[in-house]
Amino acid sequence: MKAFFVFCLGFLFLFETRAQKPMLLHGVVVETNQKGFIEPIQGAVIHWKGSNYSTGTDSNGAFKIAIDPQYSYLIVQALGFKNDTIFVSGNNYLKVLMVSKRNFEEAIITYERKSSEVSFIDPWKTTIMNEKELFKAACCNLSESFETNPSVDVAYSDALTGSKQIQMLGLAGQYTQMSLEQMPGIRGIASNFGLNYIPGTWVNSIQVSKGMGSVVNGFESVSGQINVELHKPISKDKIYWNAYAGQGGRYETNLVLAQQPTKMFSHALFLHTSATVNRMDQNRDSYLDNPIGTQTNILYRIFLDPKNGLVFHASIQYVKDEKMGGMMDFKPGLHDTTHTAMFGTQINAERLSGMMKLGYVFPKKKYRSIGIQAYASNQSFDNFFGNNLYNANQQSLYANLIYQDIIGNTNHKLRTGLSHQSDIIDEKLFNKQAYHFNRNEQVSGAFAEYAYSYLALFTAVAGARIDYHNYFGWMFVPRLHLRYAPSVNTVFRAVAGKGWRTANLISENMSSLTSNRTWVFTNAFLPNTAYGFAPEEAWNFGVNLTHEFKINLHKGNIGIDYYHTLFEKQIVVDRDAKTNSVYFYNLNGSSYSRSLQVQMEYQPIRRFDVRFAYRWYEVKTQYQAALLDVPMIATHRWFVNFAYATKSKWSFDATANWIGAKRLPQTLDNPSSLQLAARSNAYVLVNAQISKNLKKKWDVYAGCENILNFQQPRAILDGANPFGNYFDASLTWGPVFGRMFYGGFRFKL
Amino acid sequence: MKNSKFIVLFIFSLVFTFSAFAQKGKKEKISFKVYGNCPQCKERIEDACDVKGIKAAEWNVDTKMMQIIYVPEKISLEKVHQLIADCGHDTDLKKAIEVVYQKLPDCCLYREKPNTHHD
Repeated sequence: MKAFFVFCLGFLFLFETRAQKPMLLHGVVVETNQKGFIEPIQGAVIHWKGSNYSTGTDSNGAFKIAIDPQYSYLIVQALGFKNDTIFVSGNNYLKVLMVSKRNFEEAIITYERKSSEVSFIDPWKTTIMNEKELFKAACCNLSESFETNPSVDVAYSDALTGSKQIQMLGLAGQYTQMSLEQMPGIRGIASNFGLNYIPGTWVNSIQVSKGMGSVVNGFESVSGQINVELHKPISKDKIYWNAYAGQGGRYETNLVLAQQPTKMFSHALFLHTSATVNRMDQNRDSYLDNPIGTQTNILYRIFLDPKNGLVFHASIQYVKDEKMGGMMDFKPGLHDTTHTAMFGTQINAERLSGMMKLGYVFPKKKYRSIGIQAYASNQSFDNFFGNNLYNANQQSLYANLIYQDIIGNTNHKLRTGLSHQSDIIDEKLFNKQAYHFNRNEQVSGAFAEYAYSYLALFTAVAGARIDYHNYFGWMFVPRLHLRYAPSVNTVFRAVAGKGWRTANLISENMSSLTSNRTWVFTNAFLPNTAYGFAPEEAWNFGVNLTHEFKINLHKGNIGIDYYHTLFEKQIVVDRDAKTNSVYFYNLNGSSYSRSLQVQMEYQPIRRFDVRFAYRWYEVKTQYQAALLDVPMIATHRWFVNFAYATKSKWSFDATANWIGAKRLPQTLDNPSSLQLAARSNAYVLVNAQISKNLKKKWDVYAGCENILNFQQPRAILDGANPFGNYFDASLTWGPVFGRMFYGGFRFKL
Repeated sequence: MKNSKFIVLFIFSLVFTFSAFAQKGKKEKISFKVYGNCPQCKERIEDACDVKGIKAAEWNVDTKMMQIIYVPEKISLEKVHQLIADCGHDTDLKKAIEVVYQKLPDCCLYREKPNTHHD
């Protein structure tokens, strides 16, 4: 199997032929935008002084020009920018920072191009998913958007609540740091559900990066970061309306209204409402395949930009999400803990959050900036799963101050600052007995990150942060990112670092409440701890390679990455010790995840894109019994996506996911008729969609998910006796809902 | 192992599909000069060549050289030049008519404001 794979890769490289090149000077032309970020300038014109030959920059601001010993002064011109003349000797990579004529007409330019600017190329590998990519999925909420992207896995958490969870590097969603507009706000008991509160159509782009992130964004990331950027009111669409209907009786509509009354002020209102109304039971197990319920979601945001270096942005969001599942005939009134005839589940969540950002870029020294950000939220759950009850409330506050500057010249860049986060969490759990957990976490920290860049060839980012936790004391987090680009087409990156987080045992394992398992917390609950446990700590090391190539004038790329995560401290969730229990205890031994991904993209025929990926995971933890594979993780996964667009604006998209066998928690304590195999079956999920763009304003789409109609057999174990000892709806490894057709439209003005 | 076989079969069928596509007609790769200025011109020129018979087209902003892979049985080279001229860009064989040329955006008016000379 592996040999075959290596063969494929070799084959690919063989294809690539590169002509002998003359001595070329490579470089990039960039500007600093209003917020102080470096952005490439497309279409800048570059020529040697005294020569007639000129060239232009591409969409990445990159250019190349043949070196002629006759000439040594390079002239760079771009519309709206001051012309720049540079003395060039040698063939080193050149970075040119252009100064805008428009905004700084009067300002005295003290900072000319001179040396170089900090690299515009990120030292961490980031996959950016734009709207076009997001449109490929049925896309009800963000967790479903990842179905067309191989970096993130979407896993089913249980057969009753319809919840889906994301995974990165084979680790559960809580190890991925989620941020909204670069604010790490979705934390604590909301961490596994936060993505469900962002409707797909609100999203402008998603950035996914594996491995450790920057220390500036906090200490919590272990397996990766997902950042979501919403539509900006300054974008050109003033009205954005969409509606969706799915075969499962799911209806959704979104409306985004944006306005820019003056050049300095803009604001936008986002509205979402969705409902699942039909009681569906495709697999005839007398339980609802998907819960019924409604979600209401409102977001309002404002931007202020007085064009004097100050930028202000604030937003407020309210979400109410109500879901009811269980037996076909279950109604909310039928629920009480003594009632043992009708099984039902309920997840009622309510969240109110607000954030603000205030930034200042020194107008004369645009590399110097200072910013303050704050995020506050209140999240509550009022849930039940049969006789298991879970009520929780969390008040969170996160604030940071970031100062950015250079040391000497722009090859040495520094970001430093302070942060504080506060989480007040109160949780009530009833599982065979009543539990009451509460904690008040206050974490204050300081961080610094130094970036060194040598031309565009090499970048190193070294960061460290030290935090004081009111329960656990001082915590130190170092992180290092390296980037090396031996040629314009090839980038090699390496990352190493540490992360830590407080586990939220109940909300992260809520799916285990959809069973009759007894929860056993091996540590007694003490005040000033989290459920009696210390935080989880992990190291992560990764390398990746990205290479771009061109065959027959068509572009393609190949990416290979390998990540190794090593847990120093972890709270093990053990569903194997006894079939009808879940044990929580401190890791005693090793726990690690190794992941390899190979991805290839190519356009063999015009307007026809193929994306292909393979992933391999090894995720093992020392359980009481032995070192075992973590359950519900497939070792092998294949992914292929075809996208074809016609000139008349029809788009066709199809994705196939082959998901290998997963280890299931043991069911050997059950009577033999209620035992499951040790491993699940492998299965294939195929989704397809057709869309048509009409008059540039309308998009109409229709599609089908799970075309092969694969449904997990026995999604609910002993469903006939929901209050018996063997009932378990949490052993879900595949889709519960079969083939589903859907359709919808998007309107932009 | 059963699954691996499935995957291998699947990939081979894909490869065969593509090679089947590739073997229709005899392909030829040629390059010639097209006058234009900017990335916007590039998009326009390449889109004009998005027709039956042309497998791939790429225009280089720096060198003004157009590279195409086409099937001579399906489209004549003269027709390719005509397509490019029809969208407003001159080649050494066909000139764009004034009415079409004048409709180009300002930055693309290569006759008045050529930003490059490649002679």
